[in-house]
Amino acid sequence: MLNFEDVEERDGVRFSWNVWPSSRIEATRTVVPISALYTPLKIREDLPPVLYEPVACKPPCRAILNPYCQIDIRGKLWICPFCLSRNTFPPHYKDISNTNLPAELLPKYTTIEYTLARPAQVPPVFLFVIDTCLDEEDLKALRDAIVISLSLLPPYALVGLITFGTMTQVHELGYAECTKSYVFRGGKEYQPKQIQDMLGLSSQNRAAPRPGQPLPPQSFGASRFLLPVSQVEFQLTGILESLSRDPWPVATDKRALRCTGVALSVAVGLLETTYPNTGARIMLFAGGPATEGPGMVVSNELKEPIRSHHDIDRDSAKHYKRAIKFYEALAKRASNNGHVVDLFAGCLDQVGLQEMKSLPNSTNGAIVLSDSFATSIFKQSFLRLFSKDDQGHLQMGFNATFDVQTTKELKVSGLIGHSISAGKKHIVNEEDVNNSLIMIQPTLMSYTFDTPSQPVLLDSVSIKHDVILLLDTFFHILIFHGELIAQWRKQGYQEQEGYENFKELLELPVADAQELLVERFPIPRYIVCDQGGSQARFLLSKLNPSTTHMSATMYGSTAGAGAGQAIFTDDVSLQVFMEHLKRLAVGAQTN
Amino acid sequence: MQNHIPQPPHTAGLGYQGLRPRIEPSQVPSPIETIETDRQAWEEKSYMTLPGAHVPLSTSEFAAVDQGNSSPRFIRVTTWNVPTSSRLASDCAIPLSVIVQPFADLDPREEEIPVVDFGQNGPERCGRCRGYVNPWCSWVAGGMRWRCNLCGHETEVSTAYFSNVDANMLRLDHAQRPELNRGTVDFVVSEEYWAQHPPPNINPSYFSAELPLTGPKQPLPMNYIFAFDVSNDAIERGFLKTSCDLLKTVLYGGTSLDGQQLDSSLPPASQVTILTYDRTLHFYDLNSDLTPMLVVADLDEVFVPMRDRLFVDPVGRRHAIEALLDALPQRFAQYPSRDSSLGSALRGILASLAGRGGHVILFQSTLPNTGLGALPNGSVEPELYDTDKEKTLHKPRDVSWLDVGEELAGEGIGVSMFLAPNKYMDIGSVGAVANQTGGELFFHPKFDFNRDAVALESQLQRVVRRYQGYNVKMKFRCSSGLRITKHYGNFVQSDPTDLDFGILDADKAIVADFEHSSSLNPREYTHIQCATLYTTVWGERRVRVINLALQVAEMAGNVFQYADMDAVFCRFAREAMVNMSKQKLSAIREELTEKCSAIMLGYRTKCAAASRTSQLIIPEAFKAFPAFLLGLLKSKPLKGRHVSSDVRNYTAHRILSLPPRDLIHSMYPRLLALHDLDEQVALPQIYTVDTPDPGVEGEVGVVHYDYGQIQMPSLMRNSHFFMEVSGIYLVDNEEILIFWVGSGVSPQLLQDLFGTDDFMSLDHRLHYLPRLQTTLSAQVHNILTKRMSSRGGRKPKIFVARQNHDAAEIEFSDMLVEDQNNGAMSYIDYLALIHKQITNVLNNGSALGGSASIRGSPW
Repeated sequence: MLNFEDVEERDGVRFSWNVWPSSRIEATRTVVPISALYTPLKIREDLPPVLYEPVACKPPCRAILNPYCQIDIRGKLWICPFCLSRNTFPPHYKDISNTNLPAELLPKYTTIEYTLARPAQVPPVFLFVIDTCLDEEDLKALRDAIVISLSLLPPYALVGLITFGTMTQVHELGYAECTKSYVFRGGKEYQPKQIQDMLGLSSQNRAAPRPGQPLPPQSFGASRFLLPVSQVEFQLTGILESLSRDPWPVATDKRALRCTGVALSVAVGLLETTYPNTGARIMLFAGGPATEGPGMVVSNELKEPIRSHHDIDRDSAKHYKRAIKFYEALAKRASNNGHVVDLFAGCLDQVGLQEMKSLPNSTNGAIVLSDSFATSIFKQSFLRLFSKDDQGHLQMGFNATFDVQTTKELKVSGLIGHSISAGKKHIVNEEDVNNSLIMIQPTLMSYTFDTPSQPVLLDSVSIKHDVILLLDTFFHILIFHGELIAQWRKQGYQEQEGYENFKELLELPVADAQELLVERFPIPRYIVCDQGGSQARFLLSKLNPSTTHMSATMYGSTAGAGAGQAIFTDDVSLQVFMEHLKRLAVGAQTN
Repeated sequence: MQNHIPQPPHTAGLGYQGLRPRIEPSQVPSPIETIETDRQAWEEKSYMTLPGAHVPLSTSEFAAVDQGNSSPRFIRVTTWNVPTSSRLASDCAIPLSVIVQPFADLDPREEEIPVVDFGQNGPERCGRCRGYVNPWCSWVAGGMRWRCNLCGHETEVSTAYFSNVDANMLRLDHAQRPELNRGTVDFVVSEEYWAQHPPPNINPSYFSAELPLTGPKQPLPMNYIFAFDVSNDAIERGFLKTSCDLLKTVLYGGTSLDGQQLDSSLPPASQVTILTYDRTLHFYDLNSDLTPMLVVADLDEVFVPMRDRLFVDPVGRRHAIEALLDALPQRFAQYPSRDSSLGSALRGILASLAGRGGHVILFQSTLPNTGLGALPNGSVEPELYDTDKEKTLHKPRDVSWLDVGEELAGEGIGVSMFLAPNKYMDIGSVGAVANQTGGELFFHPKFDFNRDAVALESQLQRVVRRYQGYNVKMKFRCSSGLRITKHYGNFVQSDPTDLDFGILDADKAIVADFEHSSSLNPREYTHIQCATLYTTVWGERRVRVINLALQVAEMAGNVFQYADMDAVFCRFAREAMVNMSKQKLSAIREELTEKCSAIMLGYRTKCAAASRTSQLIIPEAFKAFPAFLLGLLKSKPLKGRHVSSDVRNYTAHRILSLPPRDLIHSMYPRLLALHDLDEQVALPQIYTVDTPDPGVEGEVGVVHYDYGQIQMPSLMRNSHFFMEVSGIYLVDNEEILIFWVGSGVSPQLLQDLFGTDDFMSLDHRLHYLPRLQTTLSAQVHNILTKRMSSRGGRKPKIFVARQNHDAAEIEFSDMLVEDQNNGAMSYIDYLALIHKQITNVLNNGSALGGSASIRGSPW
């Protein structure tokens, strides 16, 4: 039995239990359900190039030959461990022997990647869905980021563009005469068939060509809207560069009309008709909540506040249920066709992720929340999506069927007590166990003089005036200077001779933080703060409140200086929680 | 007449049934004589508008001096002596109607219409009937109050308008007040008179991202939408390309197709946009240099993809507009659509112009077979002809065409359509929109650049250049004792007294019927006031008030003596067009004849009871009337035999808006003999004037060409009977000009006019008249130029018809309405029929049209 961390390192899989319960009854007694966390596209440097087709078991099993299969070298047979049926090796495996085994049968390659000789039938499709209800500055940043991303795409990748605001525009990139787009009303729920007809994708209503004129293939459905990036880069860049703010006037007492729902349904409808069951990504860039039409999160009247957690809990969020239903239906259609929906939000306020979460969740899409598209969090995270391996291939799998199936299987349970923000939950679904753990229980490193940096308890007692703390919550990376350290720094000791050790102390957490930043997607928010500063709340909210304003003594004196900083909260501390847990556990046994 | 030619055999008509009275054709009353006599009478003198005098015919060129009574140019009455009682009126059988043409072009010799601005208070109006102050009001209580000439109510004079009165009870400032001196006045009006945004529709015909506007609507300079059908039919015949090219000349000036220099004709500060449509609607963002094309494919729930950016200043965005107009014909040529969604496009137009108002000029070639109000293809015309269902051909097949027209008119939007169909396009439905909004239809079937482009260009120029207003409301008021009953024309009637027009222009006239509510005092004038509230093309809200005082007659003789044949004819024609959607055509024709007979009968019983029954008596004022009426019976909408419903409906639309002059010229086309033009005629009068500066040596005088006083040749009657084989004739029905060339024409004549001396080598596809250095050519060109200017610059299509050779001869002979053709009788036979109807009543005492024997006749 290998160490389970090694298994995860090798295969990207980790189980909640590493021993299988022997019976169904026993399985029910485990309380924690058996589940696996699997990262299918985990990057493996050591895999051999396997340039042939996998050998599969006979249908309907179709399991793939693997190291756990029993093989009969002489009989040229193998037994499928799943269905136990016997299969003969294909003729070209005739030369195998115990010393000459193909890679997929070697015990160390429990994970293997076949590079199939047949070319992908359809190149990957990227459909950008861009919100235009943005400030000029934001819009420009977004435009620029997307223009850069075009250069990162393989030249054969198909791209399409949908912009939305008060209305949704589908840009016909294949129209050579001028910039042409189909406009959909933001307030209307379009049926898939209507979308298909209006975009002219259905075949029956196409005009007959004039006699003597050949009908070029370019005039047909898909190739009018989704074209190889090499072919339309110029035109697309032109459109993006001339893209301006939604032209409809917004009254001072109104939110901008933003028909995110229609835009997404048109995007899903377009891909569903043109490229069903192939790899395609819908990348939604939203600058705010949907305020118009189906999938509306909040009305465009400013006097109506956006729903809060509280409203959702009390079931008083006006548009909530309808929106959820709408997006879930869309998500189902997208995932049935193997299409991915990514959400990029650039907004200080909420964008209605809670309603839309089903889209990326059930399609294995990415979610990046940022305060604005002008932030580096957005830019770097977005571009990281297009990062390539050393052969120049995108590190992105487009085996759409697999994505969908595994994602559906992937259910991480037991994350209760975590932020209920849908975005973060979603990332838990995607990341490996270590990163998931970081999300749930952030790591806290303490740096001080004379001792090497060490992990410390995620507890308010760790806050001391003479330390620097490095908090990694996955979404935030925070450097916290204790009161004394901050004071010294402000007085500029680090610049003075004889205080080199102080300078080093200051630099060390920064270097560690950079290391973390480089690896992470999405890019975490990077915060540097001092004790007592407003940004320090990010740290305080993560700490176990073992010392609170309530733990003050009866006589009003605070706990000793060594006891760390008091946190103003009504939440119970871990110690209290554990006490409670113990009492419950004991109580349960006596019953 | 010795060498007259017989009617060509291909003109099928009707003969007179029964014993035909022997009448010498040259002895019957000549309509031309009436027209020519009146024309010559008004050539030299001006018409003074005070009541009492005989009014010039609409066909005469006259200069009127407004003496406080509106000129007949703006308003005509069926009789200028109103019968004192309804009894007298019904005895005379002359309908009581007024015909107003509020924005009629003035004669160059006439004074401009005064514009009066009362500031915030607005014009003085009667406290009871809301009539406007006018020259016929009287001042009482030392000028403190004024008495309304219409209802007699006395209204306080507002302090700002007060003036002392003199011993004759005339205001001291009378002479300085145009509204008290002139019959036709324009008042500039304030916010109170702004149009209101129509209330939101419960069942909206379009969708907007914005809330509907309410309250008064700020008048703006005229907005234009130019909308092009870009389906296959429009592209194939070059109609799209031609109309795009011509639009560029409209917007930016340039050289016209026949070589004239034109300046930009759009009113300053106007904003424009361009819309195209086939299976989908295409909007263009002309503000952006890329000129993106925004496709709206949702034909059932139409919306505009943008609003504020839609309209642009045509000068500032010239580059983008010209580039787009250049590109459009090719852009759609590659994969043309066979479908056209005009109904949905009109909703898009409505949504675009809602809250602004304006003028839509659209170019359509195809039956709108998709989108809202889609019309099924395949006309069932032949089956319906002469059945009870015939009337369904003359109204919209789908009610949505009426609805959208009404909604457009309510928003102050006028729709003019240039129609160039290759086949049936259901003008009965499509044209309803133009009918309702006050727009105009232009018809170029089977568009041919050589034949139609010059006419099309002149029409397009006229549409933009003529005086017009939009968001128009019209109301008639009349003296107590009279009341307005019915209106005829192209408009939407929102309530019994108010008429709404999307737009109203110089070429449109409206007919209103009135009747007695009590007897009138024969010693006083009776008054009619027509107020037209409109927004000018430069965005000013105005009211044009037309005032008319009329004498009251106790004697039938006076009523007939001052009757206005032109107005009566116009009124009858309008009623007949309206009835097309209610009655069989044959019944309408019968009714018209009976109405004509009724007038003759009324005159005979009231004024000429002593004459022999064998004699047909026609009142002097109605001398040309039977001939004109015969022309109407033979016109495209009413004539028997097969005429496509598109042609019928298009012509009916025209007749419903034409003022009397144009109507008469259309119904009784002008025919000229070109081969015997007088030497002097139609040439500028040459005279010399001594130079005022005696210092210039050797120069005794300067030669002047006076083009203003060109003497026009006399017309001739519309019959082959008066024509010769050696002649060249020119017939003109306002829409087409045909040069008919007799087979015996002299080569010299051909050479002088067409530049070829061989009858056979004359090109029958000649659609223009060559300019030659001959007297004849100059004369004919001068005649055409003169007529063109009196038509506001419109140019008819030109055809050449060689006797017994060319197809255009059929059209030519159809235009000779005195002959037996168009499924109807000849003029002489028609007079005989009228006579028979009258004698029948006189001898048998039966009512007109009551006897089965006449009903049973072809009439």
